[in-house]
Amino acid sequence: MNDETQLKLQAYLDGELPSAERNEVEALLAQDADAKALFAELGNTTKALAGFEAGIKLPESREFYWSKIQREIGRQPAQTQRPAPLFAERLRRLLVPASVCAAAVIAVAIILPQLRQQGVVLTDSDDAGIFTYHNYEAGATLVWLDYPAENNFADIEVDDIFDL
Amino acid sequence: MNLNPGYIWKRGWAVLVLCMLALGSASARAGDFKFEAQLVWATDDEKSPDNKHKPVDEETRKVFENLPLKWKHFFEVKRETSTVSKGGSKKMAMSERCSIEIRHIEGQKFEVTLFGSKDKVCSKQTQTLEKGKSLVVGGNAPNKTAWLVVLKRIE
Repeated sequence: MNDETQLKLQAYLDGELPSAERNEVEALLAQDADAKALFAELGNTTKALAGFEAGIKLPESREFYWSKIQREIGRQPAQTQRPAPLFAERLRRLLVPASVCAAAVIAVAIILPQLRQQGVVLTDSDDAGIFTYHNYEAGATLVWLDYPAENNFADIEVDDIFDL
Repeated sequence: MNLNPGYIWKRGWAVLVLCMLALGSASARAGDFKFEAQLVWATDDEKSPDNKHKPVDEETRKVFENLPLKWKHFFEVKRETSTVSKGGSKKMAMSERCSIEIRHIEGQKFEVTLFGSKDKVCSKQTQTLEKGKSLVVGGNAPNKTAWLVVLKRIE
């Protein structure tokens, strides 16, 4: 069965064929089992789809409905094209991030020497109770054994070290 | 004055040998490192209960000001000076039960060990100590005070 015959079967099912062709299709259906099977299948499919159609109906005519949409679109304010930014605006856009960056650089430049002057605290990796503080500016290092005075540290009483 | 050539010759040799010995000794001293160690008691009290204790000198006080120490007053308990030879070590007793050992490692690098009673090691620190630099080892003492051992390389 060629494509044209299949289309004719569909048109017959939809009632779109003229009487002459309708007779031809009826004759074909009476003789050809394949055509009959396809027609039955097309009929079943049409019935199945018909049950799922939404069936939405417009309250007014199609033309009037679309004219309302068109009118509503026309009422929306046209998007105004922004004028090219003024020189001052462009300068402001450039200066704001630049000044933020400059402020950050200045802050780092001020804080870093202070940190260097104040020193750096390091924790001895071998013993969590020992802290080392370096003051590079003053050339002094403090090693602090942070153990409670009343307790032993390294199995030694504080009094043992500090012989007052 | 004895102008006998034999006498002058003998004396000349003796002077030369003495000069060479003196130069050798001086050059050996040039490779040594001189340290000063202080045992200090840190407190908020204006006076130490021990009359022998005196406030630390201005230089030491400035060292403390540059370190995060919370105490207001620092009293020197003992001060020792010692020389460490190149590659050598020297131990200084800071109290009956506290001593500090300095061992030269290389260049300006030294290993500083603090000993407690029975020579138990309290801390061991490897530190670059150039001339004028200080290493302070400290810890908590009873009654919210602290002990400090200040080691300063003076030469």
